[in-house]
Amino acid sequence: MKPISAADAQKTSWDVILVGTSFASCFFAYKLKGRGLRVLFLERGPFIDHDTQLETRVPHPTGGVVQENSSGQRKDWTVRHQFGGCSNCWWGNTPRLQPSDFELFSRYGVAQDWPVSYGDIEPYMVEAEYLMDIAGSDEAGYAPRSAPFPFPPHAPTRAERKLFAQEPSWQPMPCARSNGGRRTTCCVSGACNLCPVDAKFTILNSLELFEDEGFHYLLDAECRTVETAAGLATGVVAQTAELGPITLRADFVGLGANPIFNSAILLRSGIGSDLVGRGLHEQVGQFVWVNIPFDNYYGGTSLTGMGYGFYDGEFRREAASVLIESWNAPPSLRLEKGKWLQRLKLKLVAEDLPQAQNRVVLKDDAPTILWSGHSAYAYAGLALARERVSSLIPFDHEIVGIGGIEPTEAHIIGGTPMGTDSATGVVDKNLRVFGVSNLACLGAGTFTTGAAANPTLTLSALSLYAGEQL
Amino acid sequence: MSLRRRAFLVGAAGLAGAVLVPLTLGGTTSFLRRTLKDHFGPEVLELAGIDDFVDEFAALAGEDDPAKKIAAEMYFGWHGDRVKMIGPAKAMQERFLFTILHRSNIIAVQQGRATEFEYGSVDPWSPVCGLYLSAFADETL
Repeated sequence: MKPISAADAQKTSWDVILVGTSFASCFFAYKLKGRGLRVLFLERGPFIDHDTQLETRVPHPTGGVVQENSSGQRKDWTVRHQFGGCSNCWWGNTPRLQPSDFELFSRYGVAQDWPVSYGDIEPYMVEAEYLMDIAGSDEAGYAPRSAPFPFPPHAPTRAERKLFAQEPSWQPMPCARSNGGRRTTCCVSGACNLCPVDAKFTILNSLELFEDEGFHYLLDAECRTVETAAGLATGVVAQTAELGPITLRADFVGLGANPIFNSAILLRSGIGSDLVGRGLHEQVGQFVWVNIPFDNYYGGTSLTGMGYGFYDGEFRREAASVLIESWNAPPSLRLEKGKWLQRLKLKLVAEDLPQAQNRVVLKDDAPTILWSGHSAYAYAGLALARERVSSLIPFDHEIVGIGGIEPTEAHIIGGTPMGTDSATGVVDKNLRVFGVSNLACLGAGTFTTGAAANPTLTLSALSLYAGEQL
Repeated sequence: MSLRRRAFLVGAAGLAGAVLVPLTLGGTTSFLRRTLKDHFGPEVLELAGIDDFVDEFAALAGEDDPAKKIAAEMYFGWHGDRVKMIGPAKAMQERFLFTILHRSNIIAVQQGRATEFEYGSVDPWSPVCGLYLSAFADETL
């Protein structure tokens, strides 16, 4: 992948333009390699290598997006304008969405089903796991797998050793924090948003996966609109640092920016139905601190375990699925002498549902989020998990604290959802925009419904799947 | 010298003395050492490297607010062993204990699994490799 100037990019007629340089665009591009295609990546921000990020302490991204928040609670949205996008600051947890997450309506009468099933994209989940050198346990077996994980799971904490042995809903957390493979092994510093040793998969440290003679990237170039003629995309207009606004021509356009900005581009372009920008949502999380009668921690990475005890079941007719995270680093410690490590640090993460009133709109041509809060369904899931989490801990314990609602889980979902037709979605099952067959939206913005599981592995798999269709 | 000028100089000298005496005494450092002694026992102060850790933390504490830093030095310096645990003092004590527990191998030393005291940067925003707790993963199976 080579840099290109705006002037040179403008002179070229591209086969494919991909907006954004994070998971969604790069995993889509992975399937375009070796096909003699001229592919241009448009990146709104600069290229900042890992060493420079460490030296300058690129701040953890929060805010930066205009919103009108009527929820009564703080709400942050994590965006990252730099080459590699949020792959620079993600924590690297890669649980898969589960089969039930694709069939919420047919199983529980809630929201709507995805037009693709778990089985449709499972092989691409495997491929994404191998591209990212994921460490995970084959013994866990909550959802069907067609291949083992490429690398074994990190060492569990002391509490997880008991949890895994006595309560089968607890399993090792699969992750892209290395435990073998091309990157150095996780250092367990718990500073994963900017990994000190570059052990976590990022686009930057895995650029060789996305190398092709025909791949170029243009920096400091924000896609503003998609140009169309006769119902087909003909290219994009980008605001560049070098030349100001320029028009770039392409036979195919893939929008792999953040769900907020993908929505804004479609809205600005006048493409798509009234569904564009609607249903923006995110998981909702809450920490739980538990005192236990033995030393915990000593695990092999930051988040070592997860609990599926409240992930799926008939309760989902009324209350959201919840994934429980078990944290090793940074740990929660006790201040009583000698009991410093006798603490279990858990986080409840509930799925949310798309709600039409939570949406992206344009104000003065800039994206603005209208946010009225998480759904009652999500809060019901959290309440259920808080009430019953003790039942999943098969040793003496005392819950000593429950945190407030976290301002973000940094997993923005929705705005350009998949549907079976333009009445139910913005894109079809191949992620193509209804009515503009050579325009795709990529990333978690296309999820029909969210899930309690972290979205990155699944959105990367979806990009592989969609890239193969091109 | 006018009376007014004399009064000003005497007042200024007195104020400087009030600040410098506790600074010289190292009020914050003494408070942190007492905290360590109370929590881990007096032998902790004999560990090589403990003084450096305490000095680094004391230097960093309140770095972004010189007025608060001087106020803290004066408060801890004047009160000495009889310091009243007002809110800010309690907060500093907790932050200090959490810092040493997270960013050093003091737990391993206390448990007899390490004899040499080691620590990473006391700056909590500095990405320090190898959290000490997890560095002993294999030894605690």
